[in-house]
Amino acid sequence: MKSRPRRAAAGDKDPAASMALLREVMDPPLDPGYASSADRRERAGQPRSTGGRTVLLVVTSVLLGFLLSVAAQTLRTPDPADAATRAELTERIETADALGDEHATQIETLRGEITNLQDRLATPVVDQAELDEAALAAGATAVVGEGVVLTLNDPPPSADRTDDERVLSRDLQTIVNGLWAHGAEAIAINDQRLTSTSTIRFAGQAIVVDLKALARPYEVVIIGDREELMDEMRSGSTGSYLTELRSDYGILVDLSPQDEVTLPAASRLSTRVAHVPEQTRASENDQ
Amino acid sequence: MIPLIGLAAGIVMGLVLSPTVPLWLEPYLPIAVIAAMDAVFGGVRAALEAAFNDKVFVVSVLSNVLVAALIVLLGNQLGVGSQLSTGVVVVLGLRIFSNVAAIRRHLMGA
Repeated sequence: MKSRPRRAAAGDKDPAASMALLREVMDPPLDPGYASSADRRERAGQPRSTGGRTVLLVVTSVLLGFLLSVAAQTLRTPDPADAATRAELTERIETADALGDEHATQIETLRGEITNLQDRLATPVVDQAELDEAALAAGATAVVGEGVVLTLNDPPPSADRTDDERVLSRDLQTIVNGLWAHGAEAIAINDQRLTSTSTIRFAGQAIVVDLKALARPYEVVIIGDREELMDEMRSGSTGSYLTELRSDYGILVDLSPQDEVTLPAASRLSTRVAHVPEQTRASENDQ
Repeated sequence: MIPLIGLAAGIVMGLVLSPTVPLWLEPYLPIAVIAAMDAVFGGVRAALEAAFNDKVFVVSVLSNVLVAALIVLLGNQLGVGSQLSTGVVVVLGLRIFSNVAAIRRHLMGA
């Protein structure tokens, strides 16, 4: 029987004695308690095993089952509650996102209709070129041109990373303002075109541009004179701000000048309160 | 067979009664379960090798659970509770696996 103790004979020097611990771990003999009690019973003329039909054993197994199910229940209760909440939140976010996308496409089609109708009217109150130029400046059309792509990302998570070592809405505001001041003609952050009424702010932990939450990394695409923009981002005030972000907060900054970048049209252009004064409209109609 | 029925009865009892475990006892539960499992597999192996003894089994279950709980308690007092728990899990896990390997050898000859 292989259940006999291995180190039986005294003085039997096993050449692999130093490996005994390792062997015991990999291929352990039967628990010595069982082995010795079985030997004792054998010597007393009883069968080696007591069998599995004793009251003691039944009570122990009931207790073991109880321990098992109680432990399982106790230790897994907090998770389902969290998971349910998380799933619900995810679902809500997804629904809201889908709704937002739907609205964006709706805006797109409506704007297309407006353009069509304007074209069909064919009584241009304003010169078409002038209209196009205004649309370009207002961010109502997609634009193409040379520019720079600036990518910002949070440092990879590590044990000593503090909570403020990440890209803040304030950073994006400062950078965007600096770029507007130094030759940027159109800017988009993660495909969200910035206009004169755009907002960049924090909602909880997320950066929100024009009511749309952005996910990392933040890709700021700027159209403008490349040399001027690069100068500003290397040695201007924006440049020193970026350097500070990089050195003090470990934020990953990547700059790449591009021959041609495309920015989409802004999705939100309407004003709610501001409107064209009556006089101007009347005088325009008179012309 | 009877121990298996007992085990199932215990599980059902736990599910039906679903007692609330006091908070201070919670850290010991996972370690206690693993220690009990180690004793159970040891017992099954002994039964297969025709050397099972109910008293030894009960003592091994109790001592395993107690010692495991003691180690966790000591670890918590010393501030290394999680490391010691990991150590206990590793050692008992090794024993469980090697006992299961022995059981497999007996049942399937492989």
